[in-house]
Amino acid sequence: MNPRAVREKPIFDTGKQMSKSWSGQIAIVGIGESDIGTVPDKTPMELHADATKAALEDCGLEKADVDGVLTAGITNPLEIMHSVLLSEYLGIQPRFTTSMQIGGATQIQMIISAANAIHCGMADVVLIAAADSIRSFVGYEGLMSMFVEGVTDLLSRIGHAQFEVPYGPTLISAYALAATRHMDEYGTTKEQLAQVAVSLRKHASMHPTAQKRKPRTIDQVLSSKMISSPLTKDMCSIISDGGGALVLTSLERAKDLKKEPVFVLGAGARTLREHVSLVDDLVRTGSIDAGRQAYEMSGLGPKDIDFAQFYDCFSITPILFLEDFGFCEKGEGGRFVEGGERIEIGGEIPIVTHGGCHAHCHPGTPSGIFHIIEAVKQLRGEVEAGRRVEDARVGLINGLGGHFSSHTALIVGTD
Amino acid sequence: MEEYRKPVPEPDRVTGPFWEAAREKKLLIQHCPDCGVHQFFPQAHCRECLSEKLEWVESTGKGTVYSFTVIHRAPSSTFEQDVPYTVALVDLDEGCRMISNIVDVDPQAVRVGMSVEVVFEEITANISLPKFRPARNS
Repeated sequence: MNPRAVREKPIFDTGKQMSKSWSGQIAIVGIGESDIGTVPDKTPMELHADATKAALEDCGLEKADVDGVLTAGITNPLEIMHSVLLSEYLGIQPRFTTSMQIGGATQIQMIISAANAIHCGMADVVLIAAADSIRSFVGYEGLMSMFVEGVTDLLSRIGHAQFEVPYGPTLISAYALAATRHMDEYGTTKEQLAQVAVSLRKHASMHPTAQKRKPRTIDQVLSSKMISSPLTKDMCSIISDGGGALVLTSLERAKDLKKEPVFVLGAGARTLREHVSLVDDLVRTGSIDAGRQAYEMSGLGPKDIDFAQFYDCFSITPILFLEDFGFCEKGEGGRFVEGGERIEIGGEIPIVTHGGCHAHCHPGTPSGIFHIIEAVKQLRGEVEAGRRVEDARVGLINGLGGHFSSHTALIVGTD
Repeated sequence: MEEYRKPVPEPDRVTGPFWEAAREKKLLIQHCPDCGVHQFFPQAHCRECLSEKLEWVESTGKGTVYSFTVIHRAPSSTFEQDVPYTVALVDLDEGCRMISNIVDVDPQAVRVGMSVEVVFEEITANISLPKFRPARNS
């Protein structure tokens, strides 16, 4: 056995109490989305503003009420101090503002930060906004003319310039490496990977604005173009324009607003490494720790969760997260998804009920905001009959950034 | 020699000795005299104990495939001529991991756990890239 195979010890000790101080004390009160899919006429800033207007309208607050602004930045590294640029664009002068950047884990990290700030009195009403234009690249002319061929090229440059990039890996290949390893260790099959894509596409087919609404079969998923084995095109994120926004405030302030508040009951996070070659174990993820914290803080467990909006950037991740969040034993994820019944609406634990990065909208880093928005909609009962999780009271969401690098978990509920 | 168009590593203050040795077909990894770990990829500080006394030691160049993927959709046009090619995580016998390509073998024949050994591909006059092929005598 290779000495490398020694597991890293979890840093989170469940014996030590997490701060429970804001569990149930902070609420998501407003949600909003921009146009999504292909939006050829709007810059990322305009998409942020459209989503923000919709979120403020949703909760009935004015922009003058907002004194906290958090953003995830955009793919264009030339736009520095992004949350400040957005605040200026929106005419908001916040007390509390920053841009956070831990990839697809950022949205939940922003919620944790907003909750901290609200709880400590450093902000009363926090706007969280995330949007990008990585399909149409509106506003990217300057960057694109400098050096890149497209989003795949851009993202492939994230690896180590001397010790990874020369070998031609892609962002996708990091997830393919995890899939290969899971198949080898546990006998997971390519049909089981394909089932994830099929089930998510089915959910998207019932979503009125999802980008890909045509159902798929396992055979179709497997025969779509091979990208990075074992992942075919249909097992990967789509590429989209669009974004969303959330408004958070205290329990007190939430009481008088337009919609029923959705409370943040638990949260957790864990970052391992950035480069995929340094992540010791690709099939036991940092979500194990993030989830443990969120469960501990909320006093809830897998049996209490009515739906799970797992970060589904590639078809292997929901399989890993079903295991890592305790819905099945490690190694059983592939068999758990087989046939789709257990993970679809009406099943044991419906996952990614809007279709997620696979089929709803994936504008890169911002895509996790739609998982949160969908959770809020499900808890409010604001979804179409076909994909409604009946009597949903508690939902789990997770985020994953980089090359299995950063993991975040969030548990939300209505009481 | 046809011009090499794919990304070429640019040695820096820390990594210079690695690339100089690679030209001579030697695979160097870092060893920390303070805590004893081997480290790859190299950096100025030990990731385990933050020591700055890292030393270069020669790896046997032997290891096993932790995982792999065969890339069919190239990251950029310069890799298109190579598809399908294999990107793998290789666990060196010294206990550190590298990302690399598995060469001299049909991508379909690569397996998790396969024993591999380093080979060097001279891509420019100054840079040879360490890659891996199935081990020939083990």
